[in-house]
Parts: sequence; structure tokens; C-alpha cells
Amino acid sequence: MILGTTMESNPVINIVFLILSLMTIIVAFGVIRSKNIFRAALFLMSSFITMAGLLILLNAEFLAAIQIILNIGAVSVLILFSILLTKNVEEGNPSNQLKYQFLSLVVVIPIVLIACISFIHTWVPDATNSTNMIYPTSLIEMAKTILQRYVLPFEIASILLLAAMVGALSLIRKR
Amino acid sequence: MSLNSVLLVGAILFAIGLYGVTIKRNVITILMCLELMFSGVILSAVAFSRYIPVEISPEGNTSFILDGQIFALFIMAVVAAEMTVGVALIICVYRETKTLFSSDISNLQN
Repeated sequence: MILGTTMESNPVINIVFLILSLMTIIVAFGVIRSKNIFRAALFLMSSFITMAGLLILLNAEFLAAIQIILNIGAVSVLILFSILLTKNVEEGNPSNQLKYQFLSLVVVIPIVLIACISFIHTWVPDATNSTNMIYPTSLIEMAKTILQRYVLPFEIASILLLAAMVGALSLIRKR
Repeated sequence: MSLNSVLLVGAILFAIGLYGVTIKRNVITILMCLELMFSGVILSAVAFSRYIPVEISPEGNTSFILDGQIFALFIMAVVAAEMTVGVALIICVYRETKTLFSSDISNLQN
């Protein structure tokens, strides 16, 4: 890809990454702060869209397409259907949050602090710049990798999806 | 846009999702926040695959490996399966108990 070797020095990509990551974080806050559960589902859909943008910036176009098809097309529709099927929650409920927010923050804030500090101070060998190679088109390389090295997990994933589908149908069937 | 910044965004997404999972009462919202956590993990895996993509063979040749993207693909498949079963369980439980609050669904029997 063209982005491959010039990613760090390209200011346009930096600005786009900044905007996309800020949008993702703001929208994720919208998911957990909105009282109305329907609005939270819509915020989740927009966070999937911005995630797809971030994946495109990371040269994973195939994963971005899968993200849009699978998460926005299927998972969000599933969530919206479940909200509508279990009605009387769509007006929003002030008791949607527990009262143990402080305990949750005690757990979450150290995790994010440790992650931030370690990520900022980690030195990473930047292989793309040093070897001066061009990053491959991800779809071809992914097809080679998934059909040569990871054939068995691929088949197991398909069996898992089939089992999940059959299990969901048998759970939801009226007896 | 370096590896550290992308990992930072992934960690913040994961933390927001974890916060939501722990404070929310509504089960559907808990599933949504689980989705946010999975998004953070997928972002981190793809970032590792993008920035450290080279393996060096014993002959000295360098080639690209895309294991991070493959892991992200498998994570997406597992997330889809988990969401299917989760939503089915939610509707099943709602049919029995007429509630969606996780504090009220504490009885696994009957």
C-alpha cells in the first residue's frame, strides 16, 4: 500500500487518526453515559463506523469491510431487535446504573493508567521503516495466511458459528 | 500515528467498556459494553500486526506475517457467536422473569 512506508511522516494521516480516535472515544463515552438504551445502541453503531475508519488507517481494509458487514449489519441489528423485543426499556431508566461507580473506578483507573504508562514507555522496533519494504495488500496476504497456516482454526470457527446459531435457535424456540 | 498511540486508543476503549460492564444494570447495555472491550482488543491486535509485521527466516530473508489481523478475524467470529447466544439468552430470560436488570436475575433455578 502507499501508506506503508510514509505513515509516520504524513501529517494528513496523523490528523485523520487523531480525529477518528477522538470520535471513537467520545462515542464510547456516549454508550456508557446515555440513559436511553436505544441511543446507546446508536452510539455503539457509530463507534463501529469509526473503528472501521481506524482499521482502514492501519492497512486492514478487509477487516474494516468485515467490521461494517458483521458488526453494523448484524450485531447492531441484533441489539436493536432485542431492545425492541424486550419493550418498556426504550424510554430509558434512571436506575440504569448501579451505585457502585466508585468501586468500578477503583478497578478501571489503575488498569488504564498502567496501560498508558507502559505503552508510552515501550520501545518498539519499527520494522516497516528499517527494512524499507512495502506493506502488502492485506487481502491477498490474509488469504494465504488463513488458508495455509490457520486452516484448522478457520474450520473450528465455522463450526463454532454453526453451534452458536443452532444453540440460539433452540434457546429462543417457544415450547 | 505510532504504535504507542494506537495501543493507547485501544486501552482507553477497553477501559471504557470495562467501566460500563461493571456499573450497568441493564443486560443489553452490558452486552454493548462488551462489544466496546472487544473493539479495543481488535484495534490492538491489528496495530501490532501493522507495526511489527516482519519475520526473518533462517536464510536472512524478511517476509510479512499478518497474524494479528488473523487473530482479529477470529475474535470477530467469536464475538458474533457470543452476541447471538447472549441475545437469545436475554430474550429467554426476559420471557420468564419480565426483567432485564442483572441484579434481579440472580436466581438460576426455577
